Amino acid sequence: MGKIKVGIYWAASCGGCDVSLLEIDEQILDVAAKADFVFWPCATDTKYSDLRAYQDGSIDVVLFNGAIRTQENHDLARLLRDKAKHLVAYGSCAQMGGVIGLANLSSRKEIFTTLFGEKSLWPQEESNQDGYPLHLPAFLERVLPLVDVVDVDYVIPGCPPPKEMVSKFFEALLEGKLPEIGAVFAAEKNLCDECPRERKEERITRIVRPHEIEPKQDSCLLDQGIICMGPATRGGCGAVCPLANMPCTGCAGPTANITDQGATMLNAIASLIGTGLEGEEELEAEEAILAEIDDVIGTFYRFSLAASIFKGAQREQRG
Amino acid sequence: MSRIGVFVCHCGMNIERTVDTQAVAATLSEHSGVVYTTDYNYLCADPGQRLIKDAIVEHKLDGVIVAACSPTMHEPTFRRVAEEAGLNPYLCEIANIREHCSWVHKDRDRATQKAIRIVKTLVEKVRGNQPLEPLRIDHADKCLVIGGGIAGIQAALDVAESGFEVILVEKEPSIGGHMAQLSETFPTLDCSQCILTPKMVEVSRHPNIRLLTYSEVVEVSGYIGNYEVKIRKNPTYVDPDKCNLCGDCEKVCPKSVGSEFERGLIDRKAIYIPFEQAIPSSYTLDEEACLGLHPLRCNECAKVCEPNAIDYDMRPEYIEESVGAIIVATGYSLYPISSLGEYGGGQIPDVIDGLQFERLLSASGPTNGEVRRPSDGKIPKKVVFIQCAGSRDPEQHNAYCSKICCMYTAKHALLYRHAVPDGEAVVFYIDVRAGGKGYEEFTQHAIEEERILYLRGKVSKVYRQDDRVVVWGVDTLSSRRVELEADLVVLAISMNPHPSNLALSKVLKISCGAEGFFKEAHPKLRPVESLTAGIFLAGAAQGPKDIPEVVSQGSAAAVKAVALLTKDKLVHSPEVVDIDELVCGGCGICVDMCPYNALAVNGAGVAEVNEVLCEGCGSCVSACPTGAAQLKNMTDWQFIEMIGVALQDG
Ligand SMILES: Cc1cc2nc3c(=O)[nH]c(=O)nc-3n(C[C@H](O)[C@H](O)[C@H](O)COP(=O)(O)OP(=O)(O)OC[C@H]3O[C@@H](n4cnc5c(N)ncnc54)[C@H](O)[C@@H]3O)c2cc1C
Ligand code: SF4
Ligand code: SF4
Ligand code: SF4
Ligand code: SF4
Ligand code: SF4
Repeated sequence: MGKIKVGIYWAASCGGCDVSLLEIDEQILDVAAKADFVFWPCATDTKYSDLRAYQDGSIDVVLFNGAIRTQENHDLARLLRDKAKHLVAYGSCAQMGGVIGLANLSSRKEIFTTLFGEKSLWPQEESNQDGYPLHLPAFLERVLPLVDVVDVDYVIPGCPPPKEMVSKFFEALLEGKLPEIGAVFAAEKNLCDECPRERKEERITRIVRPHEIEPKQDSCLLDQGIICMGPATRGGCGAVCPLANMPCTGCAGPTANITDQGATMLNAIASLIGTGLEGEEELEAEEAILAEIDDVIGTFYRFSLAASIFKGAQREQRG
Repeated sequence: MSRIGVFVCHCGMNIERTVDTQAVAATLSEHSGVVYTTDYNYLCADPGQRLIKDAIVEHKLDGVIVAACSPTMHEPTFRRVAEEAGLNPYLCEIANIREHCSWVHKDRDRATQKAIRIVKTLVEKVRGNQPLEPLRIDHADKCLVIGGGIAGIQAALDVAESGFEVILVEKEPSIGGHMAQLSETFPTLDCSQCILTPKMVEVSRHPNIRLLTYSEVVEVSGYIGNYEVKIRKNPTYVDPDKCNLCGDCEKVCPKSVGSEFERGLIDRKAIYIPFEQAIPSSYTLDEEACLGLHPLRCNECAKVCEPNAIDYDMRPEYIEESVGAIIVATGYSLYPISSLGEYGGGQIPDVIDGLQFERLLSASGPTNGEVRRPSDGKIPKKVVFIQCAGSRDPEQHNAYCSKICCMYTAKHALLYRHAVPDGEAVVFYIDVRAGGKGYEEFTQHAIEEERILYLRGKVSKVYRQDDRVVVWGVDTLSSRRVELEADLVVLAISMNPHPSNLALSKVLKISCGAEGFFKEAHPKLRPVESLTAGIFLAGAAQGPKDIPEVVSQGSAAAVKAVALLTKDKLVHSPEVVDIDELVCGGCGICVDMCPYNALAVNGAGVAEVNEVLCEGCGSCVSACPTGAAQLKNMTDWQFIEMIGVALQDG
């Protein structure tokens, strides 16, 4: 049997995902022994034409990181889907749009005006540079998660995917034991399941940001008023953030039963806050607590805005 | 589910007038999964039910939608019909196209379009439904009655007579409640104690009643059929089995306080019996009033007690019981007289409340039934009665009508005229509310035969001048200002909820209305049930009312309790929450959301639901951040499908 053909691609991403592949330490040697990296723009020089030359379905697995921001991202997603036997959404951006997806709070026009000023942009998608035609890939109206563009076979979540999940994937790949299509290489349960901090099932009476208090070591961060996304986030990372006194920010995405991670966690927080007063007084007290949340979208939708039900701003369409 | 039947009801013209039921049926017949549709005049009528039953059998339906009135009306009816036709009843759903559609719209076309969407959402729901079996549970067969006024007494006796054990808990040293304080009762003028005490004695003798006086319910957990209650029996410091009622202790006790039973008109001692016919028949040592509870400080009573009944070392006793049903009959209190400063309440000794006047009229009262005013013991020759004192006054006092004070004022005025034949009685009223059998006749009799002056109008001010009380008011019928000099003023004070209601509502997890009376499940159709299954309400605890009404409620609550206790098993809806153990990470967010305490995170770190406690409210579902908590037959996925068709074009 020949070597397993692996492709890796980065779309709109920070590059962290590519680096995270190296975190699997010595396992990388096993991978190198059994697999060939046939396409990996970050590390090797391959041209799109080389890629097109592959037969459909002939690359065993493609790990796709990054969100779809440009037409080029979009086209490559399509192309890689065709060439790959198994397409994997690698990291939060491919899975849910990730941090890149927060750009959906602004329209394309707003982004360009902010970055480049009111003057008309140059060069445009089609332009002429010193007599040569120049084609630039279009900047799409909004960021899309990979899963919105093509069918995806597996998801390795995380920003970037933690070592445990990545190595679990390679183990399965090298042993030829890839799970059923649709599997997510993380836990089925939420992060609280593996978090050693203890939750007291108490109401939240105040909300603070991590730097404002010195969190108690063993008790749940939510109980201490720090918004931890752990309850609305798949486990599998080993709760590294809560262990380091930082709240989970939700990079592993929601559990299988949930469509909108941010809304779900907002619901949970709205349910959890309370002071025990009655009637109007309680309402006012609860509103005051909620007002302490500093950056609602950044807190609840840090990675999932592009995959949320409202998907982001639609100001332009609304006119 | 692929063989769904849709039945659209006209409800006479109720639905048909604004919704084209034929069009609804025709459109739905095109909807995927629907194999049979029809419309009919009254689906709930016998022929309508038969039609559904036959169609289920003939067309082998595996899901049924009845598009009709609110599911609170006929869901049980149609689910039973489905069951009789061999279909699991939980595969039958009601689409409410009456309350949610025909009754609230005028435009027939648009209402019809809306009805179609409503029915479609229910089709989507039923597609996701699973057949369910109702939960069957064992239950305890005792009944707890809280409050030993006439309401609680009646309820306890009725339950006990039906053969079930009753635990009757009364806060005060004796049962009897307010009725024991009354002189004679309208409209028949029976002596209140004469008709009450035989019932009190029956309570004390009944083999099925365990009477716990001077006691309070401190903890309640569990659910209908299986409540665990903890009762604190406060120490009376007197052994009722030894006390022979000689009263020697009372004579030597050096400490006096105002008598609650006599409403402060006279004093009682720190060791006392509230009234002679008290049940249980024993003295009580009031530890707050007592000088010592320690022989070094004062042990006068113990010294003289021949049978050695007094025990200063008595401690509160805690009693735990399992009961199937609870009847709450904690009665009322009076609006504090001191809150009526404009009428001199609490400042002028000869301005008294209705219950004080009852004690002055009562043959067993402090004046042996002679009407003598508190300040100087003189017989008042002119008495002014002020109705609606503290009632029907949303700005200053209670907004509601206390319902009984019109009647007892007529009674007071009449009894006063009997006691002081040359006395003059004047009543200020807003209007006289005398609804009830013989009530109007009773007031008319008082006004005409006893020549009681009824002045229609409000009193603006009451003040003291020398030894008289001056009343300023208006007579709105003659538009004259009225100024009267009276010897005594009796305020027909508003009935208030019992002060312990709020605390008790938290212990029992039942709700109080804004005024503080316990809230019934439905004001017309379920007047003696609380919203918590297995907890019933009786008497003035639920709102102002007089004795006949209180007694009827006591009996009604008893029947409800007995109906529950006689059942072999209790049935509970299976439409409860289900926790997906594979997904639940035990974050515990759901636990505190449940108003019924149905959830806990178990040893395996997974939320566990006590299905019997779960009322299917969905609070936990909306809080659960993993989607592990889902309501059976109302899952998120069903909702999403339902919203999908509701928003579909066309
Ligand atoms: C001045 C006046 C005159 C009236 N005259 C008439 C009349 O002539 N005819 C007529 O039909 N009606 C009359 N009424 C109305 C009558 O008093 C009431 O309808 C009746 O007494 C209500 O009975 P009840 O059992 O509901 O409440 P209550 O008599 O108030 O009894 C409630 C009992 O519950 C106990 N309790 C309270 N809280 C707790 C607790 N947490 N735990 C345990 N026990 C508790 C109380 O101590 C009390 O014993 C009159 C009322 C007033 C104010
Ligand atoms: S700290 Fe976060 S992850 Fe840990 S138990 Fe609390 S909410 Fe869950
Ligand atoms: S704790 Fe949360 S934010 Fe941190 S790595 Fe895990 S899933 Fe990501
Ligand atoms: S019953 Fe009569 S006196 Fe009492 S509040 Fe109602 S109207 Fe006023
Ligand atoms: S809220 Fe959801 S995930 Fe958390 S313990 Fe409850 S059921 Fe489990
Ligand atoms: S559905 Fe309501 S009653 Fe049932 S467990 Fe959840 S919160 Fe409790």
